Amino acid sequence: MQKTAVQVFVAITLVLLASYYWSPGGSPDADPATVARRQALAQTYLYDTRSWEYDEDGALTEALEASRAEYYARRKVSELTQPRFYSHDGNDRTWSASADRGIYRHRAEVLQLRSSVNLSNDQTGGVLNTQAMTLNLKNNTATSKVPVTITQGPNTIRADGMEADLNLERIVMKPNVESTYVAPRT
Amino acid sequence: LPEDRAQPIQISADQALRDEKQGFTVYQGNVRMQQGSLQIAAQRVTVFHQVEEADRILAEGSPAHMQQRPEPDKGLMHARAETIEYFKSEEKVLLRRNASIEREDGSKVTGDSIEYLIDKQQIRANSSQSGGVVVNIPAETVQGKEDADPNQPAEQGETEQEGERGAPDSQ
Repeated sequence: MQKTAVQVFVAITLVLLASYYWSPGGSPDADPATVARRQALAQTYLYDTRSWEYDEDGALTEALEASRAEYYARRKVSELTQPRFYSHDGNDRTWSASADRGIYRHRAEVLQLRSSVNLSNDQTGGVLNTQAMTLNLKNNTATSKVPVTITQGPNTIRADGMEADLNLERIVMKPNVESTYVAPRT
Repeated sequence: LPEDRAQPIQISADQALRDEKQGFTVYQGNVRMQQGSLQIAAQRVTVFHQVEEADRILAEGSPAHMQQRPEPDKGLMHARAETIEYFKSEEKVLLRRNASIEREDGSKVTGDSIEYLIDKQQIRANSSQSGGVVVNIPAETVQGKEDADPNQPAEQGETEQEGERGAPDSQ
């Protein structure tokens, strides 16, 4: 009985020693600069990626695509090229967003879109254009603190910022709102 | 002006709330609206856009102001009311609560509500309270009409009054 206990103890000790010294893909005695450079690199590269998210009832709530995604483990962010985001509110009403670049912050579930940003309401055909927008995927809202323009047919509204609730389909635009409604040709 | 209705509607404001589901946009704070010679100034303007066309516009203020030049050779028409509702396709303006319409020739109509038909240049005033509808037409304006031709029917721009109490008193 005593011999078995000793054998188990030795085995555990060996495993602990091994895990202390062996770290996959990196030597433990690397200098801090190397470790920092390694952590600054993307841990994962994905091309033509798409992810879906469903609610507890199995209804699709959102989809996120990108032509390229680089995941950085330490910061828990993914840098996206040509991200496209689709939000479904469960009543067959959807919004679509796209941009040249984006950063997805996994913990906060926030998607920051940059450069040629479009947000379109697929039901009404209204399209919002701006250069920077933050999408909060938890509460399905979008905000911009830079000039935005909404176009619907020939009509436009522009302002120096906006906050949108995608579930309520309401957009508050401010400040400095300028709007044009074009009379239809009769 | 007759061509106002073909002009685009320009609106500026401090803030706008756009409801994509219900199809309206509420402008608030220093709201200025312009369509050709027609101008509206109010604290709050709601534009209803069922599909794309801004077919109905509701301006609210204390009061909201509207002005327009009916004809190139005529003076401005000024309107005030707590709510001004503009029905673009019908070319009709409905003024409600403390409503008044005044022309630069001094003629003025006040009442609880006034309906103004832009293309026909007709004003229909209503009043349900004691004040009744009040129509003021300056003497020289009346004199000018009589000199023209007394037997001719009233030109465009006649005023219809409907009021429960009191005949309109013209000075």
